[in-house]
Amino acid sequence: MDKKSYLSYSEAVILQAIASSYKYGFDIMDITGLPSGTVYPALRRLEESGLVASRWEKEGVAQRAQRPPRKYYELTRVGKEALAEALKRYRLVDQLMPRVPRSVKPSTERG
Amino acid sequence: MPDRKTKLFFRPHLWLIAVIGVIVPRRLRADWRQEWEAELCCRELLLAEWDRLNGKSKLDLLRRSVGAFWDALRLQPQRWEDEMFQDLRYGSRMLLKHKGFTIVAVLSLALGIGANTALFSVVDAVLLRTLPVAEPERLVLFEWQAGLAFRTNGMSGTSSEPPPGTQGLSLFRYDVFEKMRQACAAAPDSPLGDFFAFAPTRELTAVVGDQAELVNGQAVSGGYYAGLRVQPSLGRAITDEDDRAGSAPVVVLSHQFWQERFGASPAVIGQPLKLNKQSFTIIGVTPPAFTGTLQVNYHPAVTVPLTQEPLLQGERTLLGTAKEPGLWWLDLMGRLKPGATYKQARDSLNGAFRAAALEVMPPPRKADEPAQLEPKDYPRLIAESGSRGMLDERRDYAPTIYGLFIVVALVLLIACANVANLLLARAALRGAEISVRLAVGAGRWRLIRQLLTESVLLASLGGAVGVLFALWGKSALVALTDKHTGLLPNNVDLSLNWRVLVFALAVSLLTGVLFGLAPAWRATKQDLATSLKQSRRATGVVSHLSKALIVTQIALSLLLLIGAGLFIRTLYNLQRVNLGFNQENLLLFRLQPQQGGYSDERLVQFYQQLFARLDNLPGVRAATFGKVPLIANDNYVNGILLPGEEAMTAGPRPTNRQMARENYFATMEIPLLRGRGFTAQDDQRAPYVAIVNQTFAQKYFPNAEVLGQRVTFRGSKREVEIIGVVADTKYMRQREDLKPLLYTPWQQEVGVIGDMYFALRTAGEPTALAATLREVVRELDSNLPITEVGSQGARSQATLGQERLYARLLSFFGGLALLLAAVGLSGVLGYSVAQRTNEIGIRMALGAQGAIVLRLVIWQGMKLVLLGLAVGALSGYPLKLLLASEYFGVAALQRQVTDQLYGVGGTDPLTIGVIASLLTLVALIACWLPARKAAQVDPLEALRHE
Repeated sequence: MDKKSYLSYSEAVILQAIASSYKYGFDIMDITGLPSGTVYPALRRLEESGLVASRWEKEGVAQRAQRPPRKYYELTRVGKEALAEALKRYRLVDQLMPRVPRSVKPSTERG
Repeated sequence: MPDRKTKLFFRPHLWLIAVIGVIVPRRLRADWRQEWEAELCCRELLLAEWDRLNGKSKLDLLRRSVGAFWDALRLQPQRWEDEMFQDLRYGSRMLLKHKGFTIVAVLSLALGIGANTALFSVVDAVLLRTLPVAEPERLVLFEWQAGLAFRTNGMSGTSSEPPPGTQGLSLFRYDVFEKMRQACAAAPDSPLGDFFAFAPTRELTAVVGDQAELVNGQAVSGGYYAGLRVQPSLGRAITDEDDRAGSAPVVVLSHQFWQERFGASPAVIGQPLKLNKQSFTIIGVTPPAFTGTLQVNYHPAVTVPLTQEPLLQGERTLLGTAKEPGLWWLDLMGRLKPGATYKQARDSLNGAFRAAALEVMPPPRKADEPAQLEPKDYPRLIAESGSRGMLDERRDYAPTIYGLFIVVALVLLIACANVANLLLARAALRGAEISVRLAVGAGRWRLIRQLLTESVLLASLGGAVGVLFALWGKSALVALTDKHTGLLPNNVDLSLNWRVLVFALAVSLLTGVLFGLAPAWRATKQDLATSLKQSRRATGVVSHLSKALIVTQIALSLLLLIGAGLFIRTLYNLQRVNLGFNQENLLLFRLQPQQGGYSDERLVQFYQQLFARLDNLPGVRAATFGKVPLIANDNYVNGILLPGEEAMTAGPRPTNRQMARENYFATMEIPLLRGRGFTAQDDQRAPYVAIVNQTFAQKYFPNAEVLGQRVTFRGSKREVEIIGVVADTKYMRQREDLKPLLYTPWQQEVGVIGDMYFALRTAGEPTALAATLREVVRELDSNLPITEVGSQGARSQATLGQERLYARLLSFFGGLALLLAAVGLSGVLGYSVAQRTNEIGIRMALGAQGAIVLRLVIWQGMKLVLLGLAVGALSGYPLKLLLASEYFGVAALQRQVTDQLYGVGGTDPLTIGVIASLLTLVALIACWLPARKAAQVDPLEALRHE
């Protein structure tokens, strides 16, 4: 897995966010504090290199909320390995966010 | 759910997503929009209704949606990849479908690109490549310029022509170099970190084992290798210690010499090597890539310290002795300290140079020369880039190389025109396809890009095959680098490197766009309604652009072929020039016994012994020698004074010289017209005598009897009496005018006959004697190399090498151009006929005979050919002016080309007529092929398509 060694800090943070069940793009922004211009391109990159996979949420959930279905991201097996590897290098990442989110509180401070 | 449109309208963040979404690749767009909209909507819901959102939250949403732009941007490469892939796939399918078209197009492009690539490898080797040393850009090369009044005591070496009204050299005297070196060392803040000298020696006789051979050598100052930062691959380099007077003689070998003569044995270090009979200790071998810093085709095999040069050359040393000052012969180079400039280097040494050069200036030799110079005539130092080594010969070759480049660029242009024409014709056939695609909504740019992809694909294929051609053509170019043609330097490394490949790639892409753009533009500029209706029933009218391209091709072919014709006639004329002597059955070879240590009495004895054997050799009718080989671009010129003239006031009267054996005239079959010939008794003890040619007698003694006159050599002040007159001969080359020539008997010229050209008049094939000859010389002295063995006929042919080369190159490229033009013409007419099948069918149904149709089509093509001929003939003159104009700066080239012609004018009507007829004939055949097809159209078949 050569890709592990190329993970940047922000990518590691994003992977960690997904691992901590922050699955949607905007939630990842909230919890990491990274701007959307960083998070989305990074997600595309991670998806291309097979570290994360994306799925659409169930139609029913979206219909109830009267909005289009959202796309959510998951770690793949390779992604989990890459994250474990990256955590050894970026020790602080692990402590940056709560492991299980109870409720997502939108941030209005950071974008 | 409220109407989405109004939702969008009131929500700038969603609106932004819609807009940004436009640049997302179509394949991904829907998903992309949905993801962003969903996220934004979800966030909105979380933040409760939009209307109740406070400003801060609104701003946050907006800021996040702006982030979508970066996301969209990130996806751009995918978009290009997709479409390019599609284009490439489609393009290659089209090319595979039309195999005939593809092969013709690729081959013509490959020839054009290959020729350009091969020639660029020469440009790279001669004009661009830098020395294989560390930081070559910091090397600085010194030259000088002075007013005409400045005097030197003579030079030895290669230096380019200075600008008119000035004199200048890239050569320096040893004592001047010493002064400059001292100045450089004395200045603590000198911009130069190193300063060193180097120069070629005359050919040296090296004896390895029991084999003697002539090798190129150079002498360098102690700082040479250190200054260049060249580390020997074996042993050590020459240092300042080795360059002190009294140091033991040492020599450094080139990698090539070491490999060829010593089998790359590491044991050579410490071994002795005999050079001109002197023993030198081998101390090192240079790395393989480093072939020295001298002129482009001079690669020294051996390098010795500068102070050892007198050991090699004896009295002929160029370094200078107590009696005789040295000549201007050294090349000077320095290495800039980091951050220093050429100008600083020049300024730091100019003062020392000027003082030293003025100090060694010889006193006036003529009455009108001033003893003191005015400051405007003072010599000035010039500093320029030394990154490529010595430049003089590179500069000399530049016009020829650029001239060849113009020719091969023309061929490439013709190839481009050809392919463009075929594409145009094909685009007409693809009109229907393109209109359909435009009609169903393909953008015009999209289509142009696709058509361009096809042409670039074509060009890339052409480029790939072209590089193969270039690899093959390079060996042909190496054949052009013959020593005698002088057209290209020999010994240059023409390997394909990354610069050459990048060039080939760039040329391929450029040509792809060049010949693809116009057809693509035209093909997509269609009136949809009409073209869809007409389907493929086009009118068969060849477009103006196509016509113009054909006219251009014919015109360019004509120009190239006329050039070829003029050179073929020149060659023909030169081969039939009366040389004034019989060059049949004459074997030539060169001996340099002075390098074997022969001089004075011993030298004369050696020659007498040798001739005693040669005269009696079976198959040899006569044996003689002369100082200067005839028709070999070689000469020996002296200024002479006529009776009563004073050295200070007389004109220079340059006179060709020949020092010859007494039987020279009989052997060469040059008739003696008056007086007597030389005899064996005309030796050192006899009065000095001379024989002159007819031109000498007519030019210098038009009204007096020349026999018995006494003339004096300017240099040696020696006086000789003219005892005979012989018929004129050509001297240096076939094309020269006859010049005054003065012969002296060899025994009265003991100082200069250490290096002679022998001529044997043989009974049969001259070269058959070569082996016997070597045996004869080896018996006398096995350490004496025999060189330049060959017949006089071959030697004279070699002197015509350049003319032959021009004739061959222009014939080849002219023929190629004509072939391409013919293919283009035939192809375009063929498409036109294919499109006109209906019309032709109707004509024939109405009673037109096949012959009439034939004439119709042929005339359609020949109109263009005739126009092309006219344009070509008329453009010759402005082209000549254009090339000669200052803007192009190739006046030298143009002069060179015009000077090359012999016995035929640049506008020779016969040549132009013959070439134009030839071209017309080929064009007629090219037109006849599609015309015949048209004449065979079956009216029924053609009309059934209606």
